[in-house]
Amino acid sequence: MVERGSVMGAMAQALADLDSTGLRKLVRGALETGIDPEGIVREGLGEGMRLVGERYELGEYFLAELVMAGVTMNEAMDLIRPVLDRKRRSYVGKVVIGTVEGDLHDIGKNIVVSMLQSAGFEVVDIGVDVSPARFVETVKLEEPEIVCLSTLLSVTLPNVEAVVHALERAGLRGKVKVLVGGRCLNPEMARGIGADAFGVDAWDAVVKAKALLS
Amino acid sequence: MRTRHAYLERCVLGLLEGRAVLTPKDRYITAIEHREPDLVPIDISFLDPIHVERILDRPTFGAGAGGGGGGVVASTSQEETLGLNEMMVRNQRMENEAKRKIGVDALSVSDYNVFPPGYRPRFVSEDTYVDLFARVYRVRRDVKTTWWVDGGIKTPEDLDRWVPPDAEEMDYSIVDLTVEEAGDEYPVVAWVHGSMMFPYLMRGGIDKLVFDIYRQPDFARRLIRKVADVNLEITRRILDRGVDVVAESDDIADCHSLFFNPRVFREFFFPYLKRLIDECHGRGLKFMKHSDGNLYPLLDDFVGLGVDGLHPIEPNVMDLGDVKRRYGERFFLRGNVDCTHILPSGSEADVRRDVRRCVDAAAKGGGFVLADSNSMHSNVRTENIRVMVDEGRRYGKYPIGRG
Repeated sequence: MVERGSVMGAMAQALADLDSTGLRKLVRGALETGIDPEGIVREGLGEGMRLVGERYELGEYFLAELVMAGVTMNEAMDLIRPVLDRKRRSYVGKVVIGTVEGDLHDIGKNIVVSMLQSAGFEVVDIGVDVSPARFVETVKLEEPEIVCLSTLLSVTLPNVEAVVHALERAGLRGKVKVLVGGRCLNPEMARGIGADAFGVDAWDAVVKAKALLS
Repeated sequence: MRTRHAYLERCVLGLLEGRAVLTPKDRYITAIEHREPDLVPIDISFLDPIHVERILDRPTFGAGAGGGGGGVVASTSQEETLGLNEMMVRNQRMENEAKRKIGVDALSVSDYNVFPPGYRPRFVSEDTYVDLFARVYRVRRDVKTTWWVDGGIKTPEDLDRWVPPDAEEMDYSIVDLTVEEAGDEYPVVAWVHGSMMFPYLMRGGIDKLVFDIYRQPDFARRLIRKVADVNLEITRRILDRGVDVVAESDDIADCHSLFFNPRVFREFFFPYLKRLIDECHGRGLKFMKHSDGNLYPLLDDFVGLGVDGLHPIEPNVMDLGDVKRRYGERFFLRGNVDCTHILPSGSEADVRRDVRRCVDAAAKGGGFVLADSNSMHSNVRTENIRVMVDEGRRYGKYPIGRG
């Protein structure tokens, strides 16, 4: 019987080294031996992403490695998701997330999606170039606790505010928290457009999302 | 004509004060050869059409801002009739005039603004079009803005089908015009592209190209080579027309660090960068590397590759004084008045203070050109451009003992 801690450590290391084949082999093995999927996500993949972040901060990794860490983690999540879906997950909250209208950038959004999922959130990802009307429709349908709005381009910044206004007009603003993130925003601007919180990066977005629910 | 008069006036005043007065071209070339000219040369990377219109008090042509990285399209039926090349020539003439009027020391041209004769972007919807490098842009004609949104090369087969523009057939009238207008008085800086930026725009994002490099490297290599080859041919034809300085402007970093690991740059991109630098050096031209963001991890590589100058040494990300101390003998530096915060929203005093910061940090001994930290984009206050030039002239007088 392989010790759980060493399996988690090996997974974290494989993810940090961007070794997709090795990671998937470890994840398959762990699931077959009955290790809980939540544990794999939090202790294995979560720790791996923490190591990736650490290497990035130290200047050992660059944007490309962050992207590939996201890809590698998603490939592992493809194995875990069906098992997670079969089990009742410890439900943290539900999030609707999208990149606002006019912006097709989704690197940041996708990392946030992975991080939220690994933190136990149910995430409804409605993609990129999403109109205010579609955000409103999805919020009505899915009834999330939080809406996450992502944007990179300053030219699309007014479209973040447009979503907040659209939620207000639809009478939904009191029922849902708005969390925003993206390169062209800062905390002051986020407050100015009526958001409840600003995530400086994917890790911070998870912290802020949890704080919004507490 | 007034500008010419102002220049002669400066010469006369300088002679009366016992100072040698150089032409803007002499000043610029002296500085980038690491010698002290009479004044710190002042340059503007790219003057957004909105500033050209305000400086000259008449409208430019088309929607979008070509030299700043966007695309330009006709915004009226009259412009549609003119065609892109004629619009670009008219805009270039106005930009040259605006730069001379505001008093900077260089004119510039951009490969963004050369097209084949009769070229028109292919609209795939009312507000979205694909350009000749398969980049997808969106346009808002009401505010004359375009911005990149996607790339048309989704698969290796798309790359096979993509026919690069024929460099020989492109219309280089904007370069001919600018070289002629510059004469012996102004240097012409050619802003060109290599292999490191168009590929990720054509693929639809950096994440897509990253995936290619890690998971399907042969596809990445083919794409990069195809782009490098056509851009080299376009650059050669721009250089043939007699420009003075080459600025390669592929963005390769963000505020934190590089887009790719240095190992990836060395394997996938730097052979083409070296080829481009050698082409410039073979013609006796200085080669400047531009990229926003934190370039520290590549500066030693740039030394090895033969890069002569750096722009913009992004403020709050890199430190101009630090780069001057460590690399000032190897690179001339061009920058770095802050166009993120200070030029758009700073007061006159803020702009003057930032100009003095740059001069203090980097002007001693030459090897420095005062410029914005990316471009004079549309959010910059036009008045602050005038203030930057004015303070540069007041404060940037050699000998400069600081730094």
